[in-house]
Amino acid sequence: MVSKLIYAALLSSFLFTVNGLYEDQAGKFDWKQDYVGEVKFSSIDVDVTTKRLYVATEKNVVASLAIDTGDIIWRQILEKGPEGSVELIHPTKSKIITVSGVDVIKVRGWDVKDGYLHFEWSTESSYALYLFVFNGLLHNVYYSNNLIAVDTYHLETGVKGKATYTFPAHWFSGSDRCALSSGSLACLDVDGKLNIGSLIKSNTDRLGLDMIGDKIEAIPGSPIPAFIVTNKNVEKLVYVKENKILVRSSTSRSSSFIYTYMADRQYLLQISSPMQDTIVTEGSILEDSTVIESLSSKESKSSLKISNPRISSAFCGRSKANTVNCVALVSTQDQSLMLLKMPGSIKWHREESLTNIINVEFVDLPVSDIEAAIEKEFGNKESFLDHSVSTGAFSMFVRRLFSQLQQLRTLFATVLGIIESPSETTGTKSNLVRDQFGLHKIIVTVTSAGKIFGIDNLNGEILWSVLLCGVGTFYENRVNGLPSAPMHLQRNSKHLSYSPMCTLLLKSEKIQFVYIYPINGESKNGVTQVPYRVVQAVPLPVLNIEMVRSLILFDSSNSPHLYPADTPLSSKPPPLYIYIANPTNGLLQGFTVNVPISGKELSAKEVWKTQFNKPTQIIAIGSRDAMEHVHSQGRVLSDRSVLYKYINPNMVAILTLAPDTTHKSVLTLHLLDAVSGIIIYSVVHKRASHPIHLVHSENWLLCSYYNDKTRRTEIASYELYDGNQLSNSSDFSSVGGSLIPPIVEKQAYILPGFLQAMKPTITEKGITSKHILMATTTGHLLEVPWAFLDPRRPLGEPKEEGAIPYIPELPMPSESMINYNKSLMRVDGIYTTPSSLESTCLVFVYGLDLFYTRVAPSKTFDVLKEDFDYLVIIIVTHILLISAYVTKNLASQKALKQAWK
Amino acid sequence: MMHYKLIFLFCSVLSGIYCSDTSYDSISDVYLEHELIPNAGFTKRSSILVNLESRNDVVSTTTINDSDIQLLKQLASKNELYRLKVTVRTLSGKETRFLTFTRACLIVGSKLNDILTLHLDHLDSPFAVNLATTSNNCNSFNELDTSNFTTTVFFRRPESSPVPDTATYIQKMERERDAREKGKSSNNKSMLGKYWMYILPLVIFMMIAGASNPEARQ
Repeated sequence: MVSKLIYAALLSSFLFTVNGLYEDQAGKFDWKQDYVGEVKFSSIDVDVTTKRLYVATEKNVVASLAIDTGDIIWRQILEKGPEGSVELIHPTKSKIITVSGVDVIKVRGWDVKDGYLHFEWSTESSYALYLFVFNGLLHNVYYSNNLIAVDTYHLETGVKGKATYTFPAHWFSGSDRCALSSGSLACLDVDGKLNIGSLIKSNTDRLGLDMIGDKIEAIPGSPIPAFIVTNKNVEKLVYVKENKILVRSSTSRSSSFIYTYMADRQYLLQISSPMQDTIVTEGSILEDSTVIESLSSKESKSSLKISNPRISSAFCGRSKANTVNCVALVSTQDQSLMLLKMPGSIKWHREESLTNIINVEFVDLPVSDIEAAIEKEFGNKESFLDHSVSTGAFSMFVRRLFSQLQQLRTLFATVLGIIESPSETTGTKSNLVRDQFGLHKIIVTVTSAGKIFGIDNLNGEILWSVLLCGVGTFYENRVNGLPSAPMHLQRNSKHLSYSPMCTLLLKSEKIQFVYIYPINGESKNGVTQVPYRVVQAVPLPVLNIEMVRSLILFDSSNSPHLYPADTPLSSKPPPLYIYIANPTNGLLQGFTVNVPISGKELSAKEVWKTQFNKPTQIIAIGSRDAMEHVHSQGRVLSDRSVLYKYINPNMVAILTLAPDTTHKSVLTLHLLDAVSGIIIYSVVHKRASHPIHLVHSENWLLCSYYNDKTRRTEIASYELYDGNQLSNSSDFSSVGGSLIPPIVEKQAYILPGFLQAMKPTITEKGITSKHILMATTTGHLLEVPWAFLDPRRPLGEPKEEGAIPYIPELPMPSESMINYNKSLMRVDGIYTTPSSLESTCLVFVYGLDLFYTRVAPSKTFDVLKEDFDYLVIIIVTHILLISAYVTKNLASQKALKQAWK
Repeated sequence: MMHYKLIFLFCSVLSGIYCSDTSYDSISDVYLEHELIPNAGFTKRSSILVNLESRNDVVSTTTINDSDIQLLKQLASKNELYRLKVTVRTLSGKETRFLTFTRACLIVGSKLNDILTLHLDHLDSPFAVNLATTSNNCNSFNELDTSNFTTTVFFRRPESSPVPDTATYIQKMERERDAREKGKSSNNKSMLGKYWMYILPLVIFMMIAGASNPEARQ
């Protein structure tokens, strides 16, 4: 009975740590932006009642956008990966039909109004070369036994059409030298001949033309067979009209689109962008190359950043002034989508590359000018800012006089209305200054399209963007083939005399760096090249004299370089230990690097080497966040003794995955001291497979994987303890340290769902308890207190106070879904960063949608509640003050009377 | 028919054993080389024969010559690192090279007693070697009186992962349920019967309180 009561009390005490959100708080601290991804196919519906755009994207999304604003009206997400890749869209009056999938093609009809699924059918087609729709029939073109065969299906029902047409295909020269446009297949053969044959009717007629070309492409949108043939950078436009092949020369470096206007007239629309900030359009009649003045324009805008635009779909109409007007949906190489009005301007544009974020960094804003002046004036040494000013008596006096003069001047200026606000001078946006609680920051994101964005974290507004055009390519993760972009914040906003600086590592023939000033997105003397191939980049623990955190770069022959190279350091760094991991061959090497204060002549020495056996692959390396602090050194047990945490700052977790004959795949977690190369602990998870996520924080680790045997997601939780005594009480050293392994507590939990990403919260001083943020495939963002994943959750009697009894399944209460009803689909990652408030952690979730919020794992104990009653406090203090004054008077009067008695 | 099945089963079991035997490639010996002059290259220290079947830790002693002892002392006095290159050979002749290190003064300070830990993966093949010493003494390197390296070789295999403990949890739930049912059967009096001693004084108190001020009721 007593134990039950204790359990009930304990459970109810944990109910309070669950953070719900009040209805009126929704959207106050968070924002969400919906995206669709890079557009693959589109169609414009200009029906007056609907006025919509339909798009199918590389992210396997089918969506409808409003033509006037570009807002998403509905969005449907298909299967992930090649199973859901959209191959074709076909708009009809009431439905938008998509064909998706590779080996099994799935045909689906979506309602144009609300995106509801009307019908779905599927068929197997292993060797499909092309798919096209003609006359309400889906044509599936495939190649077998020297014949080109075409199967037809009724588009809405999936009923197979009459018979399979076959064509002799001796002229079919492979799908890379052929193109299909409007039901006609055109192939370049080796003898320099272009053959065009129609695949719609079962005739064997084909048209031929002598033409040499390297490449053939179909022109999108065209209702007649039209192709672009490229031969040594000379482009020619080939089209078929009334059974004749016609050739027209084309201006190269521009993308073409053919639009049929009034049944028999074809317009050729062309678009190009000779410079990043200009967009040139041209319109002409296809047959006679007559230029249509009203469709030709040139526009340049400094805020534009466009590379390789391409018309995805268009619509033309006759205006009142009897000229032709067109709207075109334009997609660019950097994956932005815009609606272009010809003649005229860009109506809206969407940055769809934000669906492919590969790296995120939160950058603090600099302090305002006034605050900077105050900091300088008083020369406060304990301030978090670095103001680099001398503290001599005379110089301080001069500085003070000077700054007061300046303050007086700004005061006069403000009064007279010369300058509107004194902080205007910091940047283009006056509100981009550091706030008191450090909640306002800039999110710097790198996208795989090569575009870098600076986003305001409070409202999600894009402040700046940089297009890395022709600078270099991204590194590639050799295990999963995804691009990766190492970014280092080399100088933060604390240094008043210098602006913050971000460095992005890119690959080209020579490795390249791109500096960006993250506040305004400028990249002055932007790109640096180094003449070696970088395999590892590690920031130094000390700054150089220009307050830049230098990087140590290891080249492919494992010799170290300092970057920036020619600047001496502010102090001599301690001996550094750096490790390099090769994920594919399983080699791990540790080096010690001696960096002299001059920053020249670095020397490295290999000190340890570990070799995983083939075919083991290193799939993840989890290190603790460099900003993380561990506040509490131990845990108090029920017998009042302390269990000390094993906190090794050099420990990294390495996950390896190896195929196995009996267990399918074996996932091993190794805890490695990256300085000494000592394997602290290893544990084997059998039959574990992707998706695998790893979290390493403080003295614990979480590893989530899919268990093939039990067919569910499991989370293994590990916690490391030193025991009852602190082993390295004075100073921690990995080199020559003790061989006594730490105590490892382990436990596993079942997660009723599938994880897309997992990340712990982080706060400035580590006092606040830790929560784990988990993004599930159902679109929820769960905030799970770490106490639920604690491996010391007792099965029997509780070992310490506040421990929740062990339950194998993790709870997923709806109160802990911090994104409430805003589902987050296809999450790629979660980024957490501390604010200056100890209680609050900033969270940014990226993937198909962007979501930003802030969480307070231990509730906001350091700020007053929003509904705090200031009036009552003011009244109470005033009453107290007045009554104190009155009673004092009364008391003195009484004392006087007493004295007279 | 039955016989065929049995033979087939037997064969498959045999082939299974055979398979695991061929993939099982045991470690035969560990070859050690150390570096006594910084960046001057490695020289042979010893070779230790290892038998994984016996599942015991191996202790081996080798003598090194006096000049090497002097070099080791110099290394220790300069507070340099002592690097050890370890080559693990298997019965089939496959070699894997590892590198490990510690501070030279610790080697001298522990009177040439060192511990090598061989980390084996789930298939018993090595992936890492760690060097440690028996003491953390880094001061008394002048009192070295031995020229025998005493090496203890440990083997460490990975632990197996935790699994969600559903069985114990269900048992616990069942136990609790049983206890509840037992409690109910022995104590199935009504609430009034159980708590009359608290309720009665409360009722009396309220009656007295009600009777003492009859005006309030009107």
